[in-house]
Amino acid sequence: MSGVSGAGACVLRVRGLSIQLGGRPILRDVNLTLAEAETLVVLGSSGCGKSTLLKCLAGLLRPAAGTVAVSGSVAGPISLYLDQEPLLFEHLNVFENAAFALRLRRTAEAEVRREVGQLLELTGLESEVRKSVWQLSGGQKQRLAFVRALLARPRLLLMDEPFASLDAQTRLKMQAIFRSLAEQHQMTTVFVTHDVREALTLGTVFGRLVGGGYRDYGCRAEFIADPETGVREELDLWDGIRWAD
Amino acid sequence: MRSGSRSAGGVIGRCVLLLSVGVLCVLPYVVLVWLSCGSGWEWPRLVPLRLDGVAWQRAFSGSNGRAAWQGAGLSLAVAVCSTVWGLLISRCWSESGSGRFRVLLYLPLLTSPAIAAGCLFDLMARIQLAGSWLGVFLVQSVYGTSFAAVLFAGVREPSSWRREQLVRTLGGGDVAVWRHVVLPDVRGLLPLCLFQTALLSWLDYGLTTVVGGGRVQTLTMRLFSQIREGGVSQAAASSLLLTVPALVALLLLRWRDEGAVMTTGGPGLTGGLRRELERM
Repeated sequence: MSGVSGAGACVLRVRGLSIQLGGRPILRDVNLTLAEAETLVVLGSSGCGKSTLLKCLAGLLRPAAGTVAVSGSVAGPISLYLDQEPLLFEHLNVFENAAFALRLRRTAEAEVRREVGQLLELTGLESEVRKSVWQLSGGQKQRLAFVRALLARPRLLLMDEPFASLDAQTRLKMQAIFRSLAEQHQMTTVFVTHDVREALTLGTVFGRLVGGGYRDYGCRAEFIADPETGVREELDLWDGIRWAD
Repeated sequence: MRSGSRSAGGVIGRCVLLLSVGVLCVLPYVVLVWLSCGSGWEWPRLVPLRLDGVAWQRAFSGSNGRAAWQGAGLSLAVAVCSTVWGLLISRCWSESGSGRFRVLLYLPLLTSPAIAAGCLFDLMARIQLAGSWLGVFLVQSVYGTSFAAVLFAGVREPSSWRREQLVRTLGGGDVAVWRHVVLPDVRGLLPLCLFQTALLSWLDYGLTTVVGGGRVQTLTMRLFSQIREGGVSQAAASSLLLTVPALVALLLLRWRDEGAVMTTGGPGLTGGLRRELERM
């Protein structure tokens, strides 16, 4: 089985990927594929190698074996890696941070204003355009980083638990924003998390890292039904709490 | 009642202490101003015969004035070159991550400049750098560059590398990396580095004496000559003149920081330091 549920072109193909850090094997023989506009959620416990996998897909780590292929033509970068640290530029205001990739590509000013304005409005940042980055809250910074990533038009977006450091309410908002914008802009994303609810909320295809290996699921039902994911357990727990109230 | 008298006593004690420290800090400058404004001051008189501005007139003219301008030009050149080279070297150091490279950078700071210059004087004379402005500039720049490189290297954070990667991933080249990562990271330190390396040159005596061989005349060199010649008033005026660039630079740095606080609400360099001290 492969992580392809839709009929879109294949964007990501990973074959026989093995990763070692300091001579220690982290991941062995990972195989996955991802179609266009899909969001692959990779679930795993802390320390199982989720971030390592993502960094390898981003080209930040060299694998010990195997291949990673990202296909398709790109206007922007082939892949873009996002994690909990927004990495915003403090000398630029909110607008210029969002427009960063467009400015590097020398996009026409009118188009920059239109695209940036649209996304800032969608993410609720339209009133903050002239502010400095240090004046934003944690959630606002994450939203801005996400806007910047979208405007960069990467072929593949790699998200490493970007909402983990946010409070519950802000995290829910960010998940809703991500889902909406990913659908709207047909983003192809690999999203790693250890949060089961986040996985179910955001994913269209699912995979799990366990014991250094990777297992993918054909559909959401299969993912939920697998007792090793802990999804059914958690859903039952929340159901129990809700009925108790 | 007892606690009230203890706190009053504490306040008075603190005031006395602050006043003493203030007087001790200010007193040398008061004496220098007094010395520089008098002439015909015979031993063992406590006050000069007349108060005039002769020493100050001479301070800005003739060989003294020329030495001051030349010294200022040398300091500016050393400051700019040391800062630029130091920044470039600190990047190489950060990229290499080599401990040996770090040792090399610290080497000049471990030795006394005057002694090092004395040891190298013979070589410098053979390559015709001794007794020249170029020789003094080069040797001072070695120390300035070492200082600057260590200063800038301390600013690098793990996020700096990640932001550089991000800029390159988004399509930026070296210019974009310098513009959006390197220079913003060191922006607060640039004026400080320029100031410190300029001061290093402006106030230097040992290096300039050894390498300059008496041919390179800066205001510091003139000051020591005046002291040796017994020109107390002239030396006092030269001493005060030596402090002027440092005072101006400190005021400019302070105004810049206060301006940063007012316009952005963020801390300036001194504002940030002040906050940390208050927290302690």
